[in-house]
Amino acid sequence: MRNLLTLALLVSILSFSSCGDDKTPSDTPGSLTLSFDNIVGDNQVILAEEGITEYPHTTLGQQDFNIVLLRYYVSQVTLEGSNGVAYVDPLAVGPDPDDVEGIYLVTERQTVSHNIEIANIPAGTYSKISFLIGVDSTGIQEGAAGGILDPAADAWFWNWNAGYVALGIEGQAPEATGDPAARTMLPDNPNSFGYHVGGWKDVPGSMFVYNNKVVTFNLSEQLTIGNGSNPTANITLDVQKLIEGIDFAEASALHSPLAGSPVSENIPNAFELESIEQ
Amino acid sequence: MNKLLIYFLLFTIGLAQSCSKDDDDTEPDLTYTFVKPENFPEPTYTFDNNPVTQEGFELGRRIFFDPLLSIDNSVSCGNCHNQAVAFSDPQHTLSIGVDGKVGIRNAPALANMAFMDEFFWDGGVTHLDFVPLNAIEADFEMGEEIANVIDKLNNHSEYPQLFKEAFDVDTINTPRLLHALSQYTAMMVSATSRYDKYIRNEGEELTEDELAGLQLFETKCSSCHEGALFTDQSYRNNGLDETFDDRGRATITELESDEGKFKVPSLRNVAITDPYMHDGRFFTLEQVLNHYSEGVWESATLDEELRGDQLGIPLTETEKAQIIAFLNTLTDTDFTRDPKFINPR
Repeated sequence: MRNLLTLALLVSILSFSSCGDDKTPSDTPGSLTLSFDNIVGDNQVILAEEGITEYPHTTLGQQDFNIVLLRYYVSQVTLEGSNGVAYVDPLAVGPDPDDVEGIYLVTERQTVSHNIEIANIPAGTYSKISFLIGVDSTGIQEGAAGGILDPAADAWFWNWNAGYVALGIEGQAPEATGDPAARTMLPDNPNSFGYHVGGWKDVPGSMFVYNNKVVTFNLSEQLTIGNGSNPTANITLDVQKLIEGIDFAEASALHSPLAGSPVSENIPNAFELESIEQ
Repeated sequence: MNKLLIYFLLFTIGLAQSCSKDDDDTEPDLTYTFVKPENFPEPTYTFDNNPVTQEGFELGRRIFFDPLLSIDNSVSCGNCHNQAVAFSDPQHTLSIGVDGKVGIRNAPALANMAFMDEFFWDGGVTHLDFVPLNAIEADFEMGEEIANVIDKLNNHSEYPQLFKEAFDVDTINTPRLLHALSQYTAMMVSATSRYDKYIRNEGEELTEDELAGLQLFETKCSSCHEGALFTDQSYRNNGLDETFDDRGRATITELESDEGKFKVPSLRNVAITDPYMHDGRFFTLEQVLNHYSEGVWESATLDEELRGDQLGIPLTETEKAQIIAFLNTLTDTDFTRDPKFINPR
């Protein structure tokens, strides 16, 4: 776990120095803002409350539904230059909220959480952006952590199969048969559904279902960061694609790594890079 | 440059020596320092992130015995983890939570958690810090939400000051609560049994029967109950049943091949930590050895170690008695009577 952290640090240090090599000494680092917009097909997500039986959204399978909650962790934001050099947003966890670095929580209900600013990126040109949806072993094996990783505050944490829930979506649908374990629903709500995508154990030789997923965008044009350039990447998450293939009648409650894997498999294609504001 | 370094080293050595001179006649007090016993592996616990202090340890101890953790303030960690019997629960086969709710498994003995990779009978938790969350939030254990526990602590007349002293914080949050508990539980090192003193050549002798038992143990038991921790930390089906009400390790891995497998428990203090097995079905070590010798059931996931010419581990009555004699040498009364773990109230 610690090795990963060290590696990430080394990579970032390396990229600092190698980027600096072919630049003038006056290079100043820049920032990249990842701006997440959650959509359902052509529409914005309309958040509902529990018990509301209006269903403004439709799945690709033509089932109506509403969304009461949508949230996901973003970590390991990585930028790659055309020469293959990478900058990895350093990751750290600790007991105070400010100790948590490099892990972000996007929740539909909190607009401020939709924009993630990655600062101190070495000046240069980059051709690839990637990030992980979820929290990998480093974020867990360093022990209890605060802020967005504090289960008494904002974190979703599986106690029984200890780890953070990478992505969660809850809502209601006429075809759903109720999810007693949904966080934002009453246990007896007959139309609730809850999909909690967790499972972080990516251990060589083990058979665990690993549901954290890397989202990668290969850029058509070089992205310049630093020396006064602090671009924003506008990214959408399309819930239609996220739950593509899921039938509410057959799956109302997904709460284990294996059960959540169909949603997890959809993650890489559900995120799209819409535009970059240079 | 090299010279400078040498001067610097000499200087530091000098400093260290001059320091130790002052303390010549007093041993350093290691009561609140984690010390790895020499016959133990390296600890797994992340002490760098949560160094043990007297204040943190004592805070963790107080919380361990505080029923405030449960929804109706009735159940503490100490309810099912009694120091006198190596923090096991001698009263119940399945542990009992709030409202008399019956749990699903036997509360294990606690010792040497700082050396373990995974926790609980199914190994679902991979870091000691996160262990208490299971007990606090399971509806058949403490039945409380962690957010309520944090509220109760922050509104308590004494805890905010105690957290301030331990961690220099003004607000209590979950990681500080978990760190305090880990300081207490990580310090639960059991390594002063007669067996340890024998193996470390500290002047302890084992009897003829105990030595014979040790030899039998090494040939017949230690492939699973391995090393200083007396567990290889693997998950195995030891033939208790033909079919499984409790999926065990498969709950976590979701693999059919792990059905009915449970973590190989440490055998430290085993003579006093009855009842035995994940469901507490056996009350004596004789029953346990009779199971291995004559009671193993066939099933698809039965451990290979228990498949020989006949199922199980054939043992004569003499061999059973000798193995039990040896197992009794793993009882660590220094640990079960260590005053620093005792509930102060």
